[in-house]
Amino acid sequence: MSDTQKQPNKDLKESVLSRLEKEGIEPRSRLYWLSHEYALWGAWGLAVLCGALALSVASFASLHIGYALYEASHNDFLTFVFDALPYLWLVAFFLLIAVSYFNLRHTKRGYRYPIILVVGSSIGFSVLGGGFLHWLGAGWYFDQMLGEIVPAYQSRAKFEEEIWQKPMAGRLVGKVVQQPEEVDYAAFVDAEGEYWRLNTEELREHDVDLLQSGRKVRILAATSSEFAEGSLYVCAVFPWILDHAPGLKEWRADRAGFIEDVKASKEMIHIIRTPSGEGRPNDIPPPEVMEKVASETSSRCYNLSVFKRARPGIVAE
Amino acid sequence: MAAETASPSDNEVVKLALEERSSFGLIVERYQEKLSRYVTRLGIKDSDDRDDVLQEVFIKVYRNLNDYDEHYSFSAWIYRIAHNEAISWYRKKKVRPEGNLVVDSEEVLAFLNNNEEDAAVRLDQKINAAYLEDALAKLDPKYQAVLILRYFEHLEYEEISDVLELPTGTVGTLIHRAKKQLREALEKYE
Repeated sequence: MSDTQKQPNKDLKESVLSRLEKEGIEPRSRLYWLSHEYALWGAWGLAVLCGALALSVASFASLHIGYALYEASHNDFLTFVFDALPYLWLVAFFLLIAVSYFNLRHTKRGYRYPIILVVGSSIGFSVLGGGFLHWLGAGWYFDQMLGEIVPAYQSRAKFEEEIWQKPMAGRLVGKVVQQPEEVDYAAFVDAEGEYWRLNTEELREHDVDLLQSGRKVRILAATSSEFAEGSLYVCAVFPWILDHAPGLKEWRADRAGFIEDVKASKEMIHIIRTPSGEGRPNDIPPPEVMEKVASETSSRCYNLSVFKRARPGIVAE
Repeated sequence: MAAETASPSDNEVVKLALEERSSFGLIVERYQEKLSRYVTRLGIKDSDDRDDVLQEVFIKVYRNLNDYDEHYSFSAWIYRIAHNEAISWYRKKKVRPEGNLVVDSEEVLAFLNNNEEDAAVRLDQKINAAYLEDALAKLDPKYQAVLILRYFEHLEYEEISDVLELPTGTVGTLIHRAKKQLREALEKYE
């Protein structure tokens, strides 16, 4: 009989029992195994919950990355999306899905479930939880809280503020600190505490009201070396909406406001061209004529590069 | 008086072993031969190595007795421990498992004649045990394992799923692929 075909050691039973006795080996308690199992399920639940939270922040950040005013900060929509997507949270979400997959797979019967069910259930529960948390406004809250307590973390509000606090590019975030003493002017302090003298003569009435409300706002302004230092020519005003969890309604209002501002700049040209101010929309001349007129007028907002960039799309809408 | 002479089920022996250590000997008696054959088939040929591995297997079985869920097959559970222990042994030794079927002619014949599932293996009965063993040894270890468990240890799909900790569907797929690979390997001997 070959070595491989030998009968198993007949003393195995004795040697096993004697080793159990000698080494005082006892079965691990039921509680140990139960806690092991519950720990895995708990870790799965925690990973799904964290995944849901990551998704709620990612969805909040994705929905409120300022689509409404992307023309104001970026050259085109694609560069804007690449710049603004919440990569950290999307990566965190997928990592947490991997962690929850690992935990579920290592539960007592986790291996029995098909991979699609394990991954699908982890993603499904995270998406459901993320949707619910988003609905509760937890995404905004968590993002805001992290921004406050972790210096290295850039919250959506910080990101927006960074994008809008660019005076050289004609973007500012801040508020009016003093009611205007003279018509068409306002004193404004930006996010970095700098003071500005704003010319508001081309602003729509709605924007003037918003600016003078004293609330935190974002402004689009024309810059020129012709202006005195610390002066800006304001062309549009938008409310600061990231001091709470904003809804789609505010996002739409932001967009509508921007469209109105772009159109208003066009209409302003028309009014300038017809001093009587009696022009009707149908009388608005073609763009090439308007460009010529604009260059001959004092309308600074019509020539604002942001409006120029946005105008073709908005006029086509 | 059949009830008096019938041997206790695995579940009953587990309960007894949890109450009285010496009853664990029944489990060792019941499974030592099967597990010895299994670890040999997985490639642990040396009898001393095999005895060491088996002793570790039974110590682990005893230590983990409370982890066994009586709603599932005890046989699959103990095979899983043996399988994992054999894999650990290979890792410690840093060698690749080489199957060693320890088959008799009846087993080989049964395997060759087996036409269940998709009948992927349709082999000439002239192929002998040595060829089969050689061809199996060349298969990927995961294919070796499913074929050994299915055709030489006669485990059901669900039990193989429990031993290898894979979804039942994956076990079916692995068996199908393993048989296909084996058929291709055996064609060279024809």
